[in-house]
Amino acid sequence: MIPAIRAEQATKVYGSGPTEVRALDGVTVSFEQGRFSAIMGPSGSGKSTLLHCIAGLDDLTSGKVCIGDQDLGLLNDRELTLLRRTRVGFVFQAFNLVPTLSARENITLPLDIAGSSVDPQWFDRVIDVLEIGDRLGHRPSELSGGQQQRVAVARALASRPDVIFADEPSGNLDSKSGAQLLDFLRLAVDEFHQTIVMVTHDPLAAGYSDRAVFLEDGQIVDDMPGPTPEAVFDRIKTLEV
Amino acid sequence: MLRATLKGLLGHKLRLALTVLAIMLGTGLIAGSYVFTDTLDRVFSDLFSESFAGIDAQVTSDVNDELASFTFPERLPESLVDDITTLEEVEVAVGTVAGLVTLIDPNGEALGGFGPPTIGTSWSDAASPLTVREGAAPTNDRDLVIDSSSARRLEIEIGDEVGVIALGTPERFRVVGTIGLGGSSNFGGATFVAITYETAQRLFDAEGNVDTISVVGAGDISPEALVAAVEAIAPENTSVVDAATAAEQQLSGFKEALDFVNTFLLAFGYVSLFVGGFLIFNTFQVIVVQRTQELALMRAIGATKRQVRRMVLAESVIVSVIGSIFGVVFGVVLAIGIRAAFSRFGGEIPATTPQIQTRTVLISMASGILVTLFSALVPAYRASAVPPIAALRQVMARPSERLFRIVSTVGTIVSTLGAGVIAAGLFLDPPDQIPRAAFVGVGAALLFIGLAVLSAAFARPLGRTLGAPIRVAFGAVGRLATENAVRNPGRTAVTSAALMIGVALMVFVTILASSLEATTNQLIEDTFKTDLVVQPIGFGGAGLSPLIADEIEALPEIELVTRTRQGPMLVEGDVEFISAAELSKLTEAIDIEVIEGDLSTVGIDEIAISEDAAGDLDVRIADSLDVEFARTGEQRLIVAAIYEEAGPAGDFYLDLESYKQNFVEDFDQSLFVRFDRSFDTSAAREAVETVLDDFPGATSLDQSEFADQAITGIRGFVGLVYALLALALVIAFVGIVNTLLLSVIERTREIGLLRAVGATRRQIRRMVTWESVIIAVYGALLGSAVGIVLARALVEALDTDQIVFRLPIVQVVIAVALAMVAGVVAAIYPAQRASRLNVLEAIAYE
Ligand SMILES: Nc1ncnc2c1ncn2[C@@H]1O[C@H](COP(=O)(O)OP(=O)(O)OP(=O)(O)O)[C@@H](O)[C@H]1O
Ligand SMILES: [Mg+2]
Repeated sequence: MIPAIRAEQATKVYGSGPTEVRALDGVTVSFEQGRFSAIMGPSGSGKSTLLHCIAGLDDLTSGKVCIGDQDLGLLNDRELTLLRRTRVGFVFQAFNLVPTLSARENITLPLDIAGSSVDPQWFDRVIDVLEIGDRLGHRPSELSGGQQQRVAVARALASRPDVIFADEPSGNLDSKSGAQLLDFLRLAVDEFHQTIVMVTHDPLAAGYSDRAVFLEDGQIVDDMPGPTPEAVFDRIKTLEV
Repeated sequence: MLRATLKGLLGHKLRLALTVLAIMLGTGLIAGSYVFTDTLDRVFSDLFSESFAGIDAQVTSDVNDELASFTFPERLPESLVDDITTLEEVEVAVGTVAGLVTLIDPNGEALGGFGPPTIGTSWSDAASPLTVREGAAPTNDRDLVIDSSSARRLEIEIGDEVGVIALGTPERFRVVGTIGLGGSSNFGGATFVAITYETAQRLFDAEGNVDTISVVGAGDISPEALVAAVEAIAPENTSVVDAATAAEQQLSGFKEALDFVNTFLLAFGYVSLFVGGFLIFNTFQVIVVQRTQELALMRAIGATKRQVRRMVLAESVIVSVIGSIFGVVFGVVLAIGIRAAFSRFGGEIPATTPQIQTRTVLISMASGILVTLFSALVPAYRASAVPPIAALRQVMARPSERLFRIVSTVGTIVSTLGAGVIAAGLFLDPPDQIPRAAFVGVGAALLFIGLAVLSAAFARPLGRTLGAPIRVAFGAVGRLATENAVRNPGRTAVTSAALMIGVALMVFVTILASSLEATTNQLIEDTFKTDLVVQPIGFGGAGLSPLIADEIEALPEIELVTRTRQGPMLVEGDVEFISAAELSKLTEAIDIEVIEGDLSTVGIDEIAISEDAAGDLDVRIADSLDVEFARTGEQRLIVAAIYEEAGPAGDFYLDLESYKQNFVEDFDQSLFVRFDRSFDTSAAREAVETVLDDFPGATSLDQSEFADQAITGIRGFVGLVYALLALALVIAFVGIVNTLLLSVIERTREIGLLRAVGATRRQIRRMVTWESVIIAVYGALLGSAVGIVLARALVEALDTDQIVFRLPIVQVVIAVALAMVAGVVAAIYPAQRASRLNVLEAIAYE
């Protein structure tokens, strides 16, 4: 089976000379389809950079990234955009929604932009699972932070992408709504067989995933299947020492 | 605090640049108006003081100052020259004969045409400012000298033959030299030719007479003593003035005209600056919103409200000083442009170094700074109202119902007030000291501000309506564009208001122009009863030789020729232009509805007057009317006829015989010619043309040609007005670019998000472009509506059924379409910028 995402010797260097930062330093990793993977590591270890690069938001200095059998390095800006539109969904830590559009319009935005139509059954099911059916007509500013993030997840799911990337999706939420959101992500994987790659530095969040990859100084230092918060917490401790 | 201000400015160079640009464009035309008129003033001051070089005093017939610039005074007897010469205080006295002429090239074509006049004068070696540049002075009756710059412009060389028409048929001369005025060759754009004294007297029909006498005093005699000595022997009704006074008198009439031009240009300058004010207001509003957190932080660490307010105002002062300085420089460039425009429209204006006076710099800068400060006032207060707590939480303010009500109430009050002031200026009799135009100007400014405020209240629903077709056509992109266009209704309203003003004025002028054209056509159609009109070419040369009418009248193909003439007179202290005609034949040439009396029997000491003028002057039939002519002074005339509409004729008519007595000028202004029906029309016209072949300064026009000529004149003027208004439109355009850019910068993260979820660069560009189009069309539609209402109001105010109101729908539609195009063009750079945003940076943008 082809993995959903594969990075080979992915290297990202910012700046040059004395100010050079190797944000990614020869990362080779694959993420399987239909699974919930977490990327963990201390601040500045390159988690976001890795996510951006495998999601086609940023390019590598060297190495290779594939989504499915598609090598991202071979695509131009327009092709990358179309790929993001059809095969990738995003949930950011904050500022996920367009303030002038209602929740419903935000959810269907990628489909609208692509000019494709919404599958009403799928839409209803996603809305139902995320419990945002009564909020659809509201603008983002009229929603709570948790609701906003759920709308963002719904948007990411709406176009049935191959993979959803999430960068600290619960980072801005209190623990209760954070847990709720992670429950939904878990549900999406279990119910819809959605592939999700999530960056987090919270062991509790990682506990929802099927697998945790640990980064340090731009390199993969550990790969833990079926992580529990406790195990992850212990691992982080050793990393930070 | 000042450091924070400067940092704030320098941190946003683009924002700074656009604001500076708006102020520069706004103040530019103000500075340009002054530079242009000061430069002209300079040219003519030099000219008039040069024209009296080498002369100590000048003698002319006494003529009312007001009339002097429109006509020639009575001539003086030649004997007076000898009498003055014999005075022991006088070294030499020289009589001069001068008049308007038309120059003809060897092919028989008139030279020059529209523009400054061609003046013919008698040559004198003594007591004259004229000097020979090349060749020789005229010595016999076929010799002529011409000013050197005209010789160059008309490509005339020494030895060439030229024809000159004064009062009769052309006479041939040989160019024997070129002349200058003292040391310069500046004749103020006029063409100057000189011929011998005897020839001039014959050509201008002035045997035994002179127009002016130039006097040079003996020894060291003071100008006062010389004037006194000459005055002692001069007959009554003669004016003797020293050279300096004479130069000043000539200049003063000219200065009045310059003042008028200056006011005219300045009006457009202030319109531009006013439009610029909207842009400045918008920029500062956005700056304040964008810096909310920074301002709140300042408040949190102890800055007072007043300090924050001052910071914003200080920023505006710095920007306005820079903008106004650029404005003055731009003004000089504009002045050169205006000169070029006037040259096309009115004829050559000599070029000299632009005159930049301290007054120009002060007024331009003061206007720029005041408008900027005033525009920044509301944003500054808004900045000072930011609470310190805003530093800690991000608030997206949503316009409340209450705000909507306040905005619409204020907007309604201000615009109603503006409309009221305009109406008062148009329909009521304003107090004497305040001109109607001031009422209309202030009223229009209020109206526009009120409408801008009001349109903020309605930008949301109206913008959505305008965006509906775009939403249908472009789906998500269209929806985003529409929502962006209305998300800051205030900003959209102010941006489109700038365009609204420009478009409103444009539409207003267009409607007036097309109404005027329709009216002119109608009038000509209604009154033009003859087959042809014969007119002089251009307005700089002489009129029509009386011989033309004589010769045409003698043609067998012609049934009727009516001559008309024109001239100024003073009525109750105002200069009025009267027409003169052979009144017995006038009603056969043009349609005039006589109400009382008999037009055809108006005699020597009588006058015919229009109903309107009779009402204004409060005179009835058989009343007497006191007037003053340049030649004959005060005269009492009896009102012998009252006719209905002034029409093309004007408000006053004299019989030709009466005109001949009261005016020095002896040439016709236009001839109305009717063919004998027993001849073929084209043959009759052919016959008239054959006569005119001998008079190259004259041309014949049939009804439609006559109408075309009148309309070409209107169009030329309207073109000038368009050009001046264009600046306001350019500023409005910059305003759209500015607003879009600011919005794009403000929405960096949002655009990044759109790109992340799959919007292509092209979709982002489209989104910005359509937002721009909505704003532009919104402004253009409002502007068209306001322009139409204002034009209608003006036509109503003129209160005469002669004016045909004509709504040029096609032009209005074109204006809106052009606004749409402008919207697209304005979006090019901001859209480019938006689509180039790096997705990652945009997401990380704070
Ligand atoms: N645009 C950039 N220019 C230079 N260096 C950068 C840039 N973006 C990231 N870096 C550097 O690359 C390294 C990895 O950054 P990254 O954002 O991937 O870390 P992270 O693991 O997501 O950290 P955090 O948990 O704090 O979000 C850091 O050292 C960072 O300073
Ligand atoms: Mg990160």
